[in-house]
Amino acid sequence: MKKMIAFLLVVLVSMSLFANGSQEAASSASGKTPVTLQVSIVETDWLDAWEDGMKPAFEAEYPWITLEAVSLGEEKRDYHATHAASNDLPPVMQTDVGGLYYDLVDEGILLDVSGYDAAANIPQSYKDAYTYKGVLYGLTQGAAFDALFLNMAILKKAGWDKAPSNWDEFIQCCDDVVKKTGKAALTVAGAKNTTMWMPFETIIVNVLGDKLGAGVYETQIRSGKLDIVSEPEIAKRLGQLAPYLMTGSSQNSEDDVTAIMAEGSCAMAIAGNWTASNICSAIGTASGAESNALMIVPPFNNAGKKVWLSATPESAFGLSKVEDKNVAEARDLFYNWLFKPENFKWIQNARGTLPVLTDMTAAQVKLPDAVKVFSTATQSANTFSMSFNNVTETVNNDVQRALGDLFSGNKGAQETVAEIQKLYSADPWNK
Amino acid sequence: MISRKRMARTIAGELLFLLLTLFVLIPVYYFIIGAFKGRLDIVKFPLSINLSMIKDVGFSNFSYVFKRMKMFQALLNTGAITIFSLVIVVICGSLAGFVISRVNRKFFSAVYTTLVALMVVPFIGCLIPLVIQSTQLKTYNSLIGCILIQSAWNLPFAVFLFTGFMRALPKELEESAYIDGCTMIGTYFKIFLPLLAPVTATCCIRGGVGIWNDYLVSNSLLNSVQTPTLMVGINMFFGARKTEYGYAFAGIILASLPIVILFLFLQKYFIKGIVAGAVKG
Amino acid sequence: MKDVKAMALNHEKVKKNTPFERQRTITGVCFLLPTIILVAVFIIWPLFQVFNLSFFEWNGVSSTKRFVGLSNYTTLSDLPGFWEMSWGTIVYAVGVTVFTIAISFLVALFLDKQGKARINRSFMRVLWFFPCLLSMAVVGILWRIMYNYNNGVINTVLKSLGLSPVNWLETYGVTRWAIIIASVWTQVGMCVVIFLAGLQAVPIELFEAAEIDGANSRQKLLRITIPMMAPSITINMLTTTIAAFKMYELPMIVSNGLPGYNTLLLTKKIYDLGFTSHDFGRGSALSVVLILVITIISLIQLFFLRKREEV
Repeated sequence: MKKMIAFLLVVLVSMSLFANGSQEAASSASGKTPVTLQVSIVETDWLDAWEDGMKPAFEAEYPWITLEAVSLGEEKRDYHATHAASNDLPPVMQTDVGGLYYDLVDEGILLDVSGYDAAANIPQSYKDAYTYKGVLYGLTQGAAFDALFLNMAILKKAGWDKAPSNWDEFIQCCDDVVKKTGKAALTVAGAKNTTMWMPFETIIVNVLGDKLGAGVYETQIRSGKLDIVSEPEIAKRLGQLAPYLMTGSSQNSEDDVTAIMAEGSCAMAIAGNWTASNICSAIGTASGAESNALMIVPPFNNAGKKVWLSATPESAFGLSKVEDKNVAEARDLFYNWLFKPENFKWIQNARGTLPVLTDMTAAQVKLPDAVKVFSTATQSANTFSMSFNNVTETVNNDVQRALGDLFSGNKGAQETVAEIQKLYSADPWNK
Repeated sequence: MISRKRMARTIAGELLFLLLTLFVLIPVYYFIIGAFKGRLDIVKFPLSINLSMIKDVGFSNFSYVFKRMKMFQALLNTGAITIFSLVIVVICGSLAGFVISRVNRKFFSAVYTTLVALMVVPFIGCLIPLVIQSTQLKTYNSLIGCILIQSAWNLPFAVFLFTGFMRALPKELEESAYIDGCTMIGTYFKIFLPLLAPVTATCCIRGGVGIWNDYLVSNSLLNSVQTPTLMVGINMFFGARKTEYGYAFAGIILASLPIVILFLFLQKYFIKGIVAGAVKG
Repeated sequence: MKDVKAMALNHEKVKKNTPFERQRTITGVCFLLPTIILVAVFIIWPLFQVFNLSFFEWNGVSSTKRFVGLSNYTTLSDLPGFWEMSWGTIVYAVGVTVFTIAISFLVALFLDKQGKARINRSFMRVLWFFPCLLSMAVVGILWRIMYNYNNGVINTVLKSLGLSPVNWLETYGVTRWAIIIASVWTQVGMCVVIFLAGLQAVPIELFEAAEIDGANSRQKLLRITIPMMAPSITINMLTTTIAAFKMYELPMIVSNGLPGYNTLLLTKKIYDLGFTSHDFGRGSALSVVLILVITIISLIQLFFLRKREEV
């Protein structure tokens, strides 16, 4: 008996050794050679939309191409780094600004996509962010803004019928929430560097922005020359903000923030607009109605001044070099297909983010109400680009670490600002 | 009197121990019930479960995971990597242990020292050189490449275990075999191999768990589309913005079932058959 | 005793050059060959590459590397938080080793057959071993959720007992222990198995003799069990220390290295240098340093433990 089982197991397992190699070559009616195209663009947010919508739709249109999505967990970079070392990058893949992806452009592995139809309908500013040494190597999947989400049900209990509109009001509001409702005022997804930077960076730019003018913050921080120590207002505001952050915020994932808002234990959250639909429905769960969820541009401005808001392209989709002609053809077909509004809406709507394609019709975009309001508000704000476009990944992480110490009350604001200054001056983006 | 006092102490000890065991098992309990709950319930009520939670979810997490992870193919791949690596590790390790413990030459003890020293090398540092090497050796994206790497990295510890075990076996065993006219190969097969069950079981469990649960090697050396493996599949549910805990927990349960069964099969060898020197390093 | 050993050694020395012994050596080399080849190709060669890389500046993608001599090594201490990380790694390794050994020894004593069993022991053994069967990434996620301040399992339990919740992952001094507890949780089962095997090997006659001499249970533990278990203690110490030094996923997932650089272990830093900073040269230099440190610590351990065993 035991031997039988062992034998069967061995047979089964040996079969698997060979089963993988032979991809079935189903002949197609169109006379094209069947191609399997690998893409590494799918994330948990639109995994279902991909499997149930996009993949079948594309394969129906181009029957000789089979799409295969490389699973992307949280760390797509290690997959890309190791597979770059073995020349096995997926033909269509997610890219980011800087780091590994610049190296890949340098090596000619990531291709210039400016000639593709897909590139026609992306706003120029987003293309600029993904242009390195004249090569446009990625078309963004969405626009990233930072936003303040408010649970108005809690705010009403604290005596606020409308959202705060400037920094002093915001701090007053935090104070009222804590004192009058006993709930936490604000939380942030501190475990992710992008979201952790949001309150910090928004404070800096709202303090310095009007003095510096548009685009200067980015140039200065990129060259390591930005001076945040000699502007005492920055440390002061960080110090004002820190006590109102919910305990545990520096360890929160974006998922944890959603959970906290769903519990109704916190009144406000600073988060990216890409989590908007999650957080809005969470606030709906907590307060009984989604209309209690409000999404606004973080009011970190001085009273009477125009607000500064971070606006940056998110991760992008790029193309990598492929030797096989059939695969290259399939890759190009898919890429142009992907950025057609009727197909791109799958991704767009699964995540509930702001549209990035200029030719998308209103009917194709499904947005939660709160996001629609936010969307119009963004147009009247000054914008600057987010941290991950301006500092190296290492600095990005180290500053996140320093902010963690500040927000969890382990260190003071003065000390933290000095430490952060040292960190990015020592390792600037432009060396 | 004394016996009653002692009994009370024993019972108290047992209870304390039982409590500790329960405490240790809380995380396990947490993820097992989590597999049957929805996303929000998992976070909001971490430790409780009731019928209304299960009613909505049931086994839907499992069926979803089965579909998305290419579970069958992943199981076969991971199974193949684990079984073949273990076979190589046990054969090579026991032969090496046999030689090192039985033939008294400087060269052999030098090999032994080197192997033991190699136990300390952290895999993560060698990852990129290994990837480049596997493209040069044309073993990239094949199970064979994975199997070879896994067996090589598990061999030092296996040799360490086998050598220790065989050193403790009495010399007379071998001598009587030689007197009977056995060759060295014969001695290994007839005398030593039958005695190795316990240490082989130890080796299989220690190595097997590591290989089965490996993420790094299969993620970097295999193409996750063509050759999916379990851990790479589960990792898919831990997204950058959204973590599907329910799916992940269901995946974890499905993925660890085989290894639990393996352990149940092998565990009696751990305990019962082990001879004096099983753990003599 | 020593003399007998010496005699045996001499005896073998004499025998070494007989045809029989020569043939044994040749067979022996053949037996060892597969192991040597595998290890040489898949461990030693990459290790050599790592050593080589540590003198270059390389981003992992580019086809050219720039020779920089020793500067990768000399600039290691300039890494932000380098000393904090190093100290954290050592505390972590020591903490994990000590607690794993202590707890698993006690558990093994309880699970051992010689104790008077009330609960089914072999079932309990399986339960205790269960955590070992999970992958580190999974364990990391589990404990991350357990330690969550707001709705984590541990704080939920504490609150329901009327205690105040602990900020496990943001407090200097506490987070380190949180990580150590999680790691001990994963390691204990494996050590228990080895200890159980060792306990089985202690001859019952020794206990019987001691009982006749009127020894109490503590004396029996100190005089018989622990000395007889010395080999198992050695092997467990060694493997736990090495595993602790090589650990990188668990602290990375549970605490993300916070607070400060407190729980950022050096292995994770190697990973970061390679995959986040694309600085494989420095990453390799740190690997080399770490390997040296672990080797030295393991050798010291081995030396002392062996000495103990021989007593």
